[in-house]
Amino acid sequence: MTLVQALLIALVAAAGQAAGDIGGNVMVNRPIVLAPLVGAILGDLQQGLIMGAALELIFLGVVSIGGATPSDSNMGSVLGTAFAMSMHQGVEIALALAVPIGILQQMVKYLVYFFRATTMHKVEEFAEAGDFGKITRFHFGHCALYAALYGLIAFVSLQFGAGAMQALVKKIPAIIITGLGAASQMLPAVGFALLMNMLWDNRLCVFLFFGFILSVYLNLPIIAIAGIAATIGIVMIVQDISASRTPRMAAQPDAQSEEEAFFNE
Amino acid sequence: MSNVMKSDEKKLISQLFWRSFALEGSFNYEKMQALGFAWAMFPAIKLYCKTPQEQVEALKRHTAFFNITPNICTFSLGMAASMEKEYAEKKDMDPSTINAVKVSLMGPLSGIGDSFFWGTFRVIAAGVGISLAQQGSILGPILFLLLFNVPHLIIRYYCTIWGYQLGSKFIQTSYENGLIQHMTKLATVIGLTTVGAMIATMVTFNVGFTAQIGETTLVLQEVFDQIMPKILPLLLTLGAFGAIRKGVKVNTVILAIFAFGLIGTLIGLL
Repeated sequence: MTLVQALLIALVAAAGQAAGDIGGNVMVNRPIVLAPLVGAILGDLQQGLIMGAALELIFLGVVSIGGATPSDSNMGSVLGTAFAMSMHQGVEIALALAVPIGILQQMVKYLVYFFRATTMHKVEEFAEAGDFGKITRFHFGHCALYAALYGLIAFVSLQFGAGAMQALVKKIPAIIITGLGAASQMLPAVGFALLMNMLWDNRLCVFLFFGFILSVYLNLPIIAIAGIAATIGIVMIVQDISASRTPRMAAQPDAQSEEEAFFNE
Repeated sequence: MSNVMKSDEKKLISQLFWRSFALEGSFNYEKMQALGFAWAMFPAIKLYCKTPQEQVEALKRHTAFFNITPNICTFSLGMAASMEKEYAEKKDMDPSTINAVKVSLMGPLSGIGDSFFWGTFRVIAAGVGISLAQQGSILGPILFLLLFNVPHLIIRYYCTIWGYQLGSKFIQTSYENGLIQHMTKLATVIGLTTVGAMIATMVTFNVGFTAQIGETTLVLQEVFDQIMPKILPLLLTLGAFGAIRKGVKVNTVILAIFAFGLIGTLIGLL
């Protein structure tokens, strides 16, 4: 990896971080976008795409809800891809590196969020003074500060960590690499488990098995399955609506019909 | 409120929309997205609060704690802007209702926003994108971004207008006529179905164990496949889900899978 390549990759990491903060959550900081960029910088877009797909899968359940995220998928996927590709290693090494890197970077992020919180009393002063400009600079300053730190961490890791990483990976026996590969193919299960945890509803969980069966036995593509699910979901809603209207039309006293409508939900 | 907007209101809507992108620039543990919200509100504050004292009060209001699914924060922005307008027009309104309404909607809006954007749109977009990128196609990331962002940006933009025109009444009536519950149900149905489908295609868990029993060779994986193909990925995911539900830390589950993969390979099970 040349100095220019390391700088460019660090720039991708920092830009991804900034885009996550002030880019309106448009998902450009997801592994499936960042890893191909790293791949292109290192001269192998194809490999970057393949690694991006694998990384996106394991980080699929990593969603930032209320600032509580278990792992920083941005740093994990950028550095994991960069290290693995510069050592001419495959997807399993990229994944094995991305997971711990992501967890470490998330700790840094927690510290940054904490540091930002300690500066928030300043904002009250700015508001008291009616100073629009200072609030603007403060808001974007915090974003720029962390993005710069982010890029620096990525650059330093690439410049000074690559040698150590190379030595470490060389010592790993082949059977361990095979094991890491097997584990990394199982890891998406955690992502899906996290998504299920977010979406879970005891009355609707049968749809998980419905989708599974559509995929296993009918081999339908994901868009078709989403379309079928949307159709069934809409039919269910239409039935809910007509069911909740029926008792209202029967001339019941208000309180009772509301109660019925509630139980029909 | 009339549905026809004046030209300065149309301009305000587009300003709120574009400024909403920077919502999380200074996300932190004390006020979360407060600063980003205030920054996005600047045009509304400048439009409706004429005196410096009014502007100071509005700035204080909108730099208070705020946190919502970023993709639909425009609804809150539009609604807060319309309430600032209302307050500027009739001074007998209690300004603390602006924040009270804002805060009371964070939970319900985020509930529906998270399940739609994180649980549904992103999962479908990722499902399509990953399967293309796995084959080394550049269409993978491109389609991923398009499938997520086309609905995202349309909803994000219209939420600004809905928030501004319909405001808190909209959410209240949506609760009463069940719209929010219906939408959440729809997102849950689509989300769970697509997750179920992706467990089958994207989690790989095969056992390589074989045993010689007399004349016949028992291939353990074939036994599982006869019960149901992909049953092991399904059981693994359900196991991980059960562990997370019970409160096991996500990183512990990840570590356990790494350990299982390594040990399983070493003893020849996988």
